[in-house]
Amino acid sequence: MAVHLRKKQTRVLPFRLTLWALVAVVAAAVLLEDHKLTFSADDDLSEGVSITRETDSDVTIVLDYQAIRESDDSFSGRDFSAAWITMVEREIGPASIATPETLSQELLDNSRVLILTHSVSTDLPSSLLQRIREHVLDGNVVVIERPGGEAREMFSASGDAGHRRGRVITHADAMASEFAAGLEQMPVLADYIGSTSPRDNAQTLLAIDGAPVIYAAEFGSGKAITVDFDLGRQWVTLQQGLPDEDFTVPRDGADLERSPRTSDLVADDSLLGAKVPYATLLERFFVYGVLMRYSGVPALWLFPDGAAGAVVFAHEDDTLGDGAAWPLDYERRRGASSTLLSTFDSGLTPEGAADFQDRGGHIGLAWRSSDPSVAVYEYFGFFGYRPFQRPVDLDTQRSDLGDVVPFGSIRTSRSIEGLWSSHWTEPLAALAAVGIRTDVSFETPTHRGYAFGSGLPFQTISHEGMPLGIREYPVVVPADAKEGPAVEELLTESAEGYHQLITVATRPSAYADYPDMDRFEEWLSIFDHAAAHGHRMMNIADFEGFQRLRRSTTLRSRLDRRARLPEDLQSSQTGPDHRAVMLRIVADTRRRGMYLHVPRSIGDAEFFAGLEGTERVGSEIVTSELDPQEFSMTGFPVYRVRLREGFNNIELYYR
Amino acid sequence: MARRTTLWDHLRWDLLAFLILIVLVFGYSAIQEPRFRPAEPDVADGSKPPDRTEGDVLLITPVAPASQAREFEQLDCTFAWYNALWHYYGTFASAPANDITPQVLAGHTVVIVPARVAVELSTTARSHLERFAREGGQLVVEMPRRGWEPIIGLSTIGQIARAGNITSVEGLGDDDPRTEHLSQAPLAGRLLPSDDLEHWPLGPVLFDVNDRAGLVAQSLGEGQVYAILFDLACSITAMYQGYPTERMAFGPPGRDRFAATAERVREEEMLTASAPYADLLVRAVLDRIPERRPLARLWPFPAGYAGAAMSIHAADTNPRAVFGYADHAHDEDAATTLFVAPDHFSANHAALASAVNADVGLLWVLGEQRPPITEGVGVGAIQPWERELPLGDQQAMLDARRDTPVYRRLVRTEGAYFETDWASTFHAMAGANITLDASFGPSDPSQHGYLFGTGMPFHPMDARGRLFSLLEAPFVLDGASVSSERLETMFAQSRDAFHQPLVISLGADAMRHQPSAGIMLGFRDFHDLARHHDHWLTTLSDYVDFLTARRESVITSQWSEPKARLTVSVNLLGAKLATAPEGAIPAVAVPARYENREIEALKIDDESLSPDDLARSGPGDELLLELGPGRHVITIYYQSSSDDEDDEDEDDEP
Repeated sequence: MAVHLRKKQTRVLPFRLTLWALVAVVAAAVLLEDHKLTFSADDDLSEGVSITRETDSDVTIVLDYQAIRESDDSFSGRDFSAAWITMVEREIGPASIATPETLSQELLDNSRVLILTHSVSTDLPSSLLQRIREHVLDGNVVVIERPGGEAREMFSASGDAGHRRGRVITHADAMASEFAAGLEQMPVLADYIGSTSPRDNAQTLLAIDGAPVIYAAEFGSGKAITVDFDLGRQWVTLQQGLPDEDFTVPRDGADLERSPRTSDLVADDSLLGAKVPYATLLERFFVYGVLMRYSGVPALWLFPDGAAGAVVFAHEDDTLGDGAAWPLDYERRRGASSTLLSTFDSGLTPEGAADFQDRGGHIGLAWRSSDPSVAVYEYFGFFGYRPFQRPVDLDTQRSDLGDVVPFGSIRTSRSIEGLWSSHWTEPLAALAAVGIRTDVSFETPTHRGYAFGSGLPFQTISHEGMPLGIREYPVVVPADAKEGPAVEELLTESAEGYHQLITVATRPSAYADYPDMDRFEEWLSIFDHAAAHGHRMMNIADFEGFQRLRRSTTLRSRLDRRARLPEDLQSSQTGPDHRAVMLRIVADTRRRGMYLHVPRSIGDAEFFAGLEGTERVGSEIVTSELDPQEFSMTGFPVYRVRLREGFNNIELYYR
Repeated sequence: MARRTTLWDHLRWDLLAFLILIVLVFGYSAIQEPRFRPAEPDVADGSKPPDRTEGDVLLITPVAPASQAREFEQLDCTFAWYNALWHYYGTFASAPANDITPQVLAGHTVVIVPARVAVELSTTARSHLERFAREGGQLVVEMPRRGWEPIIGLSTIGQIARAGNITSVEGLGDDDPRTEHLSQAPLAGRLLPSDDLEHWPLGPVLFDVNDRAGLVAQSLGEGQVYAILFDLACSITAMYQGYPTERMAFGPPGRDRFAATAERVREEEMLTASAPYADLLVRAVLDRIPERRPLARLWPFPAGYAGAAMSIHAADTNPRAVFGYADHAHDEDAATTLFVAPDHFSANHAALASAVNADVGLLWVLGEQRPPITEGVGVGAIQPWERELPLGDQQAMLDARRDTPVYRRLVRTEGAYFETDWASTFHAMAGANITLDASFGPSDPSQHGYLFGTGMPFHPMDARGRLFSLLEAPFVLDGASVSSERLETMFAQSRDAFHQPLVISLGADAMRHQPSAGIMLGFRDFHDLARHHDHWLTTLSDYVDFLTARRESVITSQWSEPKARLTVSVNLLGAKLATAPEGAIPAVAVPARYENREIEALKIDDESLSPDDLARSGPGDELLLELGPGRHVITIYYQSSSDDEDDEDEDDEP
């Protein structure tokens, strides 16, 4: 009987199992519908771009991208020579960028300043080195960064004391004391190469911990300037942040549960709320205190129409859609414009976007990272049943927003809440891969100031040391910052010497949550302060457009140390030989309102007079005397010359 | 023989368990999504306002209420006069038509006979009124028809037309705001025919409607009779409360139950009305009376102010945003009125509101733009039904969250929505003992101004022509229609001409749904502009308290034509308010001129004052006397006509 019953049970078992399995499957399906399985987004990453460029300019930077890529795969071992590109372009404007393979004799001959970055300075072929030597002997300037082997022997001190960890800048030659004091407070984040004895006849220009790290040596009628300091790393670390050795974003003391933010990248605590743009100070020291001093190369002024600086408004929105354009109404009344960074799902309509663009506004993407706090998911599955989800990827976000925006494509981005990945540059590489060219994600939400070393945009560098093709606009005035220098103070100091781009981030939707009149008044006051301190108020596209024109401007100069003064300038005091140092500058600009900075002295010769070729009468060029304005560029005295749109032929005489 | 066991026998417990599981799932989902039961509000009708006996001005009211109007043309608008006289004079007397005796008329200077009363008045009462006028009284009769000819001095028998617009105004300066704006005031109702009469100053016609006489002033004995030949009260009512299209409803038949109050407006032009047409229309009539007999009135604002300024802020969910406005107002030493949804308002919010001196009113949730407020109905935790809370329960819910006693119940409807019939929403408000509603106003950035013909709070009317005791306080700007430029214009016009309380509305969603820099700039400048243009920064509660005290004051006067002397007796009541800690006491406004003669001397309680030292109304036609509370006697001497002649003689001297 027991056997019979067991048989029956066995026969029923499949039915019972089927019934409860069905119940379980239905329950699981219902549960999955409500609690979907999440997959990660799969964004492409850019490997960076090998920038080479041959322009009509005085300065050539030589890089070896192969050597950069093959440098040690750790943060301290990586070669950041590509950072030189930003430095020269930011301060001078046009520059040629060459590799050892593309450095032709013609390009070399045209370069009054040749910068041999660390990526090439340790392994220069003898033949090229000889050509460079002759080029310097002819009266040009070579800058060589941490050279090795034959190049070191030829141009630099021995470097036999090896790599040292720098602590503090102790000397900045010829820099006005108030700015030099700022430089001395800069956190030094890179190594230098010590030598047991200085190079003969070398003049120390910058010293760290008492050791010369930038020094100039006479070389024939030219100058060899050695940078025995990892200047590239110092810039990159100040501006792009300091990761761990394996390029992960440091989370010291942070809540490890939360996602990294760009504020975690800040290289040093002392940079939080910094009112000194250390990276700018350092590069201005190098360009104005070293390059212009020894070569007399002119520089194109950074801001349109001779403005003392600029303010960029960046408005982030994920909720208001068309309504987020409201600040533009007021900005237009004050002659300003802004960039609206809108999420793809904010509700921005084609009509709203067209209206915004018609009124001069610029639209970018506020991108939702895959952090659950901001991510938006797309669902997928089968036969209409969608139990799975993944964050909407960056490319989809950009193309969805691009479909709404009628004019141009989406080239600017900002990470909502500054959310970042655990990898130092992965988000930048992802942005670069989808065609983003400017980004406004770097900010310290609690502090105003130059936490990223500068307010000026910089070319971002990948963890492989390659330029990513994205310019980062660090936020100087975050939307909710309560600490750090006041906006007025930042603008005052910018006008008086730092000459910065001050990016102001706001969230128009903040007023929807709480119409804070104090916050509004602060925003209004920025317009007054910016106007009072000669800062141009613009959007990122306009600033970027100006910089593109500036970089592509033809700017060449030649130095003639034994020139004869034109008859118009001759007098009894200039006799009997009427000789002078002449700096001839040719500039072909494509925009009005560009200005040139020229040295106030070259060697021992002080500026005497300047002539501008204005019009051609027959075969004669009729010149007129220039009236350049004196200007203090971050502590270095220069003259400022206004350029006309088109061809400019300028002769400056120094005696 | 044993029964053959089937599959059912083996699986019955499994199936039973499965069934129980199904029941549990359905039961759970029923609890999760309970059935909805809409609210059933308590309602109350309007009523006749209580009569008063003292005052220069007497309004005669109908004896019995009218029947329910099915169309606007059937509406008894008599009590629109109540609002008009309250706004204009501040205080007045009223008496039923069957109580008109020489004794009742004796204490008054002006008697107003509304259209319905004019029709129903007995011959005896008419004869009393005739005698009143002949003995020096000022009689205003609206729509006088058969039987009134001997009193008004003209016949109105003939074809009745529809009133359109005022087509000409006589006797006012070209720069007088009434001249500029009256022609745009939309009129409603009938227009009586009249004899062909000359215009002022050659004849009695003071203004035309549709190019026919609209207001006629005729001397009768020593007094004056003003015949209003169109439905003035209904014209005002159609502006105040909207003009229904048919069956006393707004919009096309079958439309939604609720619509924005802006959709009630008299006509599209009113959506951007730059002048308070209803008030100007009333002034077009009542301003003419002092030309024949100087008359004092109570200024609608405390002494020293040309108008009032209030801001209101409604939040249908989270009230955080409205505290932003309240905080700023507090920083500006001003106060606001917040309307909050009771299900999103906590005791902490109440404490915050107290800290910033903000009044708190109810945002009546209708379930149109957000989910309705409900309570579960069932047993214990099992509540398969949910009941929508009616207005009274929502008010009680809000009251429970406040730690201070509520003596004025302020309300604003969600989205400024009202039912699309004539007065259902007001009936519900009356049923919940609401004292003031602030839902009438613009709802779109393109709309702004005096959409309802006035900025003054008014008592709405039910379909039988009875007034609700609650007040409707219209606002003039809302959300993105607020801007500094518009505020500047409105405040300046209010100071110089219109003398209005200006209420602006900035809801919690203002910077979300229609964000603009203008909203922030406008609210930033609101308080400074109000002060700059002499407007009293107050709250709805305080302003209504002030108006109530003004209503309870008494003003009477005596006029001696030979001595050109006006003697005014007032008993002024004031209100001590948070926004007027020293007390808000209405100024007494007296005509600055009589028959183009200036005031020669002025005494208050036997103390002489120079007229030059006194404030004036915007147009300069009234002097504003600042008095303390209590009884006062004001004596005003106008230059006598002989003085003028003397002056002229002197002027003529070489």
